[in-house]
Amino acid sequence: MRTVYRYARLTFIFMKKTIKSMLTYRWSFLINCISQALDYSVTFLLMWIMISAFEHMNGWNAYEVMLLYSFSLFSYGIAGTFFFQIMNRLPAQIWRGTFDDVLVKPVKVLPYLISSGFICNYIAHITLSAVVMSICFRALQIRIVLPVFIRITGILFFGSLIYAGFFLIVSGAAFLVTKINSFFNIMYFFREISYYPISIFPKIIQIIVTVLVPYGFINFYPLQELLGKDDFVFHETMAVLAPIVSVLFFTLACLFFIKSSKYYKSSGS
Amino acid sequence: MKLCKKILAISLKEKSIFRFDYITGILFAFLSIVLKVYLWKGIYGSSGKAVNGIVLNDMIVYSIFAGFTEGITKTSVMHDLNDSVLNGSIASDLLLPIGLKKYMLIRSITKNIWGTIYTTIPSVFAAMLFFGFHAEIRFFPFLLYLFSATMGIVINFLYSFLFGLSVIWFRNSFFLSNVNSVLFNLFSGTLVPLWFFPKGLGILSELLPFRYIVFEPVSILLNKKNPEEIAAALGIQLFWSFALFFAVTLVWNKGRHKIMIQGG
Repeated sequence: MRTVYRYARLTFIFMKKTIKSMLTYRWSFLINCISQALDYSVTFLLMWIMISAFEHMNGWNAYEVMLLYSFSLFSYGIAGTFFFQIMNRLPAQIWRGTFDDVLVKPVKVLPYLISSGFICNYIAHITLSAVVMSICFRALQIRIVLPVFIRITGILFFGSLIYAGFFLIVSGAAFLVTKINSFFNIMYFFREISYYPISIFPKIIQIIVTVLVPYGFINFYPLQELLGKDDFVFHETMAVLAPIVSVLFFTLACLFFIKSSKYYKSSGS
Repeated sequence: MKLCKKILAISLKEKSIFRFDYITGILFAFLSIVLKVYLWKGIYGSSGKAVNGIVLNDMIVYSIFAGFTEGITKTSVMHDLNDSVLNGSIASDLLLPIGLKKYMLIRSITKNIWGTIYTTIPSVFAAMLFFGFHAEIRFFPFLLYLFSATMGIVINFLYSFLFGLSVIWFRNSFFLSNVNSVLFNLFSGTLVPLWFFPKGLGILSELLPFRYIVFEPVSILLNKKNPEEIAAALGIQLFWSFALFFAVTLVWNKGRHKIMIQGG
């Protein structure tokens, strides 16, 4: 319990530091956020244009598909806030040998990296997806009463755990291989698949995004249940497995990261 | 010719050293085409009818050729200009015996040629074999496509160069390349062809240069335009090329004396 408190405090200190630095360069931060929000807004708009022209995508209308995208984006934003910097910084730290600095600190490696990796850059992702979610729920006439709100929060929390797991796996791979670009590409390619109902893809892709890279559990299976869709891929109770899969995936990702960090050799000078 | 052979050999050597990255690069270029094709299959599969006169096969062919055209017309000049001003390397670029504009254009075209040979062509070829789609490509539309795509390269380069020059006044214009990518993604027709756009957005796209970079050349290639429409599209492409060329010349002549060399 004391350890948890210690790292929570450390996270809080780093959060304060990051927010202070963000406020120093507030215009640059604001412009960056606006341009990111614009970028994702265009994807939402294109999605809406594409599906509206055809009325629906395998039984999912434009608002339902946009909901899939916004859940994925929100979860990605939450996970990215704490885990993106690990993936972003680690390869360079390993090449240069500056990861030594982390190892000599009187802290556990992974909790320290999570605490110090806090960034505010994902505020645009989170805000935009929250706005789109509310528009979609309104259009679909889904009232956000307390049980629905709890379910939505649960979906987003467990979705974030899966994304955090991906960040850790790609980061951990940096200890084993020189370049992590391929892992990065795999992560982002399958992420794009999760923006659409996975029932439209061939069986092999459905198996991959359910078993190997469980993107399906971030948004598709939970929302299929929430929206009462019937394009079942494997079994109609897949949504129930989402919390178990996400916790298991995150735990395995942490173990992978810790295990692979043992292979670190100080290579810099 | 000798120089070209030498560059090709060096570039091949470089690819063989980072072969895992190279192979995965092709694989993901191929997979992104696969993703687009399955998306369209998913959409058409549910309704099964032609929309705006476009059937599924047209959409698959469009997705593949739009990906190819995007590959050959793209440019990172806006980003490169911003970086070269920020790190000060523009100082040495300005000393080159050819002008900065010409140097940037050659660099951008060379990058695209290698990208097309090494990544775009293998992935498009693999997608053609994988999906076994039917594409009726005639000789004359193909020639017109080559001409139109060349103008697409010029328009995209000049447009990007023009807005990239804003770094001279802003000191750092990183955000403009993001805004540019937003406009390009929306109006170039790379992700969703402009056939499906609502009327208002369709009209707006006609006032901007982006549709003349990817959408118009591919529409010409796929015989989706009658001769009058082709002539109009090529005419507007020529207009944009000249208008942007004059704008670039004007802005560059004004801005070149104001460049502040940073870095060191």
